[in-house]
Amino acid sequence: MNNVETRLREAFRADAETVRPETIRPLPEPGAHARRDQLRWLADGSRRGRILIPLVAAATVAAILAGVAVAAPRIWSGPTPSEPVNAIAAGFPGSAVPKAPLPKFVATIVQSGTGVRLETLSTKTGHVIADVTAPHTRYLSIAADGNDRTFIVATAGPGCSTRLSRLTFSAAGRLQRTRPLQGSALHGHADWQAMAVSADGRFLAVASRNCKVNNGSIKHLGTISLINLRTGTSKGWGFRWPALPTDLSLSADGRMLEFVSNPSNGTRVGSDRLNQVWALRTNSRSGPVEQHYRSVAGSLPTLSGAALSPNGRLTSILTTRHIHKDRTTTTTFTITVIKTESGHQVAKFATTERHAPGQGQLVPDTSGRHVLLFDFSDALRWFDVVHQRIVTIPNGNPAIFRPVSTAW
Amino acid sequence: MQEDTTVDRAPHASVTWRASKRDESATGEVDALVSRLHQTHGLALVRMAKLLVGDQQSAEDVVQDAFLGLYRAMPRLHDPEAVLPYLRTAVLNRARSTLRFRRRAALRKVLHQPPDPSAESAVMDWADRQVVTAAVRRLPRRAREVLVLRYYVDLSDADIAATLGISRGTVSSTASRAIAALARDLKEEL
Repeated sequence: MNNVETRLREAFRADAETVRPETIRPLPEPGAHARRDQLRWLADGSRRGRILIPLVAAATVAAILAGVAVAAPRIWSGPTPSEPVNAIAAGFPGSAVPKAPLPKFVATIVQSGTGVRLETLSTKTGHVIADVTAPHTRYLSIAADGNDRTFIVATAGPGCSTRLSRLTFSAAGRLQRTRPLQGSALHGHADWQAMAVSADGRFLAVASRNCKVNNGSIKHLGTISLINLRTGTSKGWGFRWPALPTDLSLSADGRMLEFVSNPSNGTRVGSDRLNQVWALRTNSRSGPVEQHYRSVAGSLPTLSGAALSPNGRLTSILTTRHIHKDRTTTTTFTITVIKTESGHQVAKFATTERHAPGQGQLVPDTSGRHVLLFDFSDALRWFDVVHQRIVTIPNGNPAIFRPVSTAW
Repeated sequence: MQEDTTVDRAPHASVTWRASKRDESATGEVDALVSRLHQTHGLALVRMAKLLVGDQQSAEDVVQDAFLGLYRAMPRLHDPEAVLPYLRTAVLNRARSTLRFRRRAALRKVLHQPPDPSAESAVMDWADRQVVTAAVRRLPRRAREVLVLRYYVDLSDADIAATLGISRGTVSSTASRAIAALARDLKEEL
């Protein structure tokens, strides 16, 4: 063996051994299709599948081609401003999403002339069900706590701190109980729409920002914290300027966290144009976030929001495009569904609205079937993943309705 | 997970390769078999994938996809001995897909950013390893694959040829050219 081969072996061995056995994820449960294949494998001897499967595949392709021939003119013409809702359906894998009922109410932190309020709104009528604002409380952010009746709310604490409380509502959306979370005071203030709870109700992720940034601590702008709600233990990843994480979402098991942010690279240039979607494995060590996160889709100039699917394999990305013409603004919201790992596009949906100069955000419900689509100045809408349509909740009046953080 | 990088045929030896009944217990047996395969070979495959794709998280995803693909591939795998070569090939193919996507993303000026090594590991890294690893990354894809299979997995040229679906002669010539290129890059004499 020559010297190059020796060095090569040594380098490979050293590089490979940075993968420690205890850090490897366990094998996930196989999906339904895999189980079907297993059963087919277990049914010994039959070769019918070898003939039937190509036939069925050919028939499916023919049916899809026929469908495209009929639907193509509509799909390719794109959304038109005259249609209030125009979802472009493109084979979203809706069958993987449970057919859960639509949540009955939305809990939202609303900014108005008199301050910040916390309200519940009916998803059917858009009317306020209850104003549950507590006196002298500055609400920062809200997230659904594993179901659509309990929520975690972040409020400003003394100094530069954030307090977390659990709110329990009745099925009709009326507040029943408020209970502070034990040992949950965080340093810094949580940003709007900067909290997420895993669907199993076990983990809470919060991005909180240092209040004294102007005093020069550009290296420690804030922290993304992950709190185990059952044990009270937490870990954190610090971020630097110009990172401002928002739109946090966790996979159902809390293993994957996704957020929208500028990169955490310490440069003094900050801009929406730098915004990217980042994925962070929550089993990574505490430390600077830039040592652990990964860009999911690269820079998207009109990126507005993002959400992770419950199994973490898909990411929905919301982009908004504004066209100003004849003193009116037309906004096109586009939801692009990509694979979280590879970035491959799975589906794309769009809706166009007149007079909607907004920045949208995506908030999936705990089942992952319904994704709330809201912006800071316009009506609430939600996206039905199974039926692939966007529905506008009525009575959203831009003059009085300015949600800053919403969950359902 | 066991820390074992050797080729081990044991996990599936005790399981009837073709079950005769369509029942839940047999399904559970398959789950147990795949789980044992993952326990025995998962670490070695993740390490191999890391050498190909460059970061552990992508490597884990590549290997998990390969194992999930194993469920689908079982009807075609008549020989228990074929499972490990199948997994190696699956990992190679998925690693190629990952790298292909990154290349396309780079062309669109959408940069994939693999996580940086932590400060701790950066301190522990030794310079020579960095130089060699960087030189290997500059090699063509097939050359990298051949080197990893030969010098990390320790496969014979025949096994490498079977895994990559190329001839044995191509394996030898690719390896020779890759070593020569590395020697030039590392300023070593052969």
